[in-house]
Amino acid sequence: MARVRFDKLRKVFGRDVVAVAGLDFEIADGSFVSLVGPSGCGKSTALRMIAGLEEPTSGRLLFDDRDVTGLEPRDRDIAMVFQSYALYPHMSVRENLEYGLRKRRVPAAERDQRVARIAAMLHIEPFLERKPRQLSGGQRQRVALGRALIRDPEVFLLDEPLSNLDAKLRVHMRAELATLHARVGTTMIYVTHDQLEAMTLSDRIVVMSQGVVQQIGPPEEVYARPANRFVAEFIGTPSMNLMAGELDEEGGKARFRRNGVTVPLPDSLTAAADARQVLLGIRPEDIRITADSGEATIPAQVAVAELAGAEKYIYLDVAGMQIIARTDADSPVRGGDRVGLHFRPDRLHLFDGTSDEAKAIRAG
Amino acid sequence: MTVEAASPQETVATRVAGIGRTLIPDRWLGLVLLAPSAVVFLLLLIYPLLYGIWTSFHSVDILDLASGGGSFVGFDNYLWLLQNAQFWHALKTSTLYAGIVVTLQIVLGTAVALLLHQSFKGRAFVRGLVLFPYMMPVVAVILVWMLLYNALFGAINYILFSLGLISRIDAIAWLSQPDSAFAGVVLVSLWKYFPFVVVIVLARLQVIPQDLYEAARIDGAGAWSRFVDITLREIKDVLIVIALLRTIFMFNNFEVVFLLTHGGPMQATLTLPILVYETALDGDRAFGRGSAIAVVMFGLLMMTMMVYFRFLRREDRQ
Repeated sequence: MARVRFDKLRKVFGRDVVAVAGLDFEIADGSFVSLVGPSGCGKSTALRMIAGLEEPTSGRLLFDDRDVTGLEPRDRDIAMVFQSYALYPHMSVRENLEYGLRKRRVPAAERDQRVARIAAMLHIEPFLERKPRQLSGGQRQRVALGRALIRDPEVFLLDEPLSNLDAKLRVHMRAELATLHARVGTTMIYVTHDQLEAMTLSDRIVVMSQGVVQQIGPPEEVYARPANRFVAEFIGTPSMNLMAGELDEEGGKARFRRNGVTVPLPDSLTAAADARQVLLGIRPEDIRITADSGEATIPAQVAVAELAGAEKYIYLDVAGMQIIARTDADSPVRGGDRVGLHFRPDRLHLFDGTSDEAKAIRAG
Repeated sequence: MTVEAASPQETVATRVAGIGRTLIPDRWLGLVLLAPSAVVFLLLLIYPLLYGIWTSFHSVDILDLASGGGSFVGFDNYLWLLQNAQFWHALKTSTLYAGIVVTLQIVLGTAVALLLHQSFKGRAFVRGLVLFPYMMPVVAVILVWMLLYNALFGAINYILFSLGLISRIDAIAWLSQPDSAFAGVVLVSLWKYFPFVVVIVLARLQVIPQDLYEAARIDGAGAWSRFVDITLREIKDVLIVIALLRTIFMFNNFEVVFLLTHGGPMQATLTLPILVYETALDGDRAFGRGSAIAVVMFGLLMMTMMVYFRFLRREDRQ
């Protein structure tokens, strides 16, 4: 097991395609960290640099205090699970599992012992003599995990390992991965574009966009206190509602204003606020819908109410903008209804400006 | 959106099928479309094949050819063949020639394909260039090589002489000595046909997932291990197919050998196709005996074909 430290790690392809603009953070020993972001954000390149498959343009990579920047993949003591699984098609499951051990000249008796242990752990004993093409997607996925686990690496890398599975199996394997990590305790670095996977599995999430880290933190924090507009929109489904408008003040109290709609802002936010263009953010579950459009509420019209099993997504028109609220499935609200909205004051987010990088304004 | 995009095509397809259906019933349409190639196939392949087998059981001379006649001799032509030292010599030469040429073609072709699979400047150009020997007409290739091999003014002797490896007096008449003539024919056959191997192996190399190499690197495999455990195992199947196909092609090859050496000197390059030519079309014009040799070759190649088809079936099952 090892702590992984990025020291201004940077990767530029060709002359000026910046894949990773400079990573500078540390992953704690034994933790499960997800690199998450849309395609092209540099997360895979970052992972491949940890693996040694991609050479950084500048910066250093350290496992504990060992500089591994220039080392070959085989000298780094890492294991990787590929999105395509990359199982050796001509080898049986057993040969796939023990290939890395053979190359490291582990004696046959120990190889057999380790294969048996891993096969039992991942429930793949019945398939040991089969070829990968004779396995289902889920079984291949297990073999790929096994091939990585069997070497007992210091760092375990996973590149979108669940994205080739169907939805049901994906949820199942997600839980298995969590169990697995709890059991082996190895440092795991997980790349995904699926924020839900990142949220459910990780100790910490690294949100990336365009080669730049946007926020690092535990899932709860990234969700509850997104650092900027990009993170706010990327994390959470449905996305956080964002409304462009301006800040102004009335009677010493700050408020948000857009097309005649005003939202009073809590005192905690006013301190850091100046008059300027801002984005007001509110998550769908932090909106309460009431039948009456009284003084303290924001008037809105329901466009559609969508039932998603245990809950309902209500699409609302507020001052010419569409926002989504999440309610219980038994909410009586229907399309065409005129309603009043109540935003939970302690769950309001305010962003400085309207660009992707617009920083969250925090109290104090 | 997908539905919209698909529907116009569907209408066209339906309409075309509709026309076919109104003019001719489906069952007949298939036969009608197959007929032209079936006729060509029958005329150009089946008829000569059957006629060849027929001829091999008859004594046929040049006059019989015109009349379509010939006297039945049973297995006489085959008995003659079995007792003929020249036939056994040619069979051995053919086997040796095909075996050596195919082996070299596969080794060289695979090596070149591996080189061309690397990325380097001007790769597209070099890939095109490699096809050059394969696309040149055989006669032109042979003329060029005969110039190269020429004892008096050939480039090969000139190079050896310039390097001080031979003296002017020892100029080698490459195609006039049994061993060097055989080697010379092998070299030209190798040069002319190895691009076939390059094209197929290169195509196969390009579809090997890059992930496999990366996984192997992480698993601790060095360059040689990666080549043996991944590349070779991935291209093994096409190499078997290439070996079978090239064996058939080289065993049958007439033009390269005939144009370079006519089967000489001293029968050093006398392969079965050359023997068929000499027996049937040259000298005594014994069409029956020539056909008997051809039928034996046909049998041998059929066996190779059967191995080939069995292999393809096995591949399909997987």
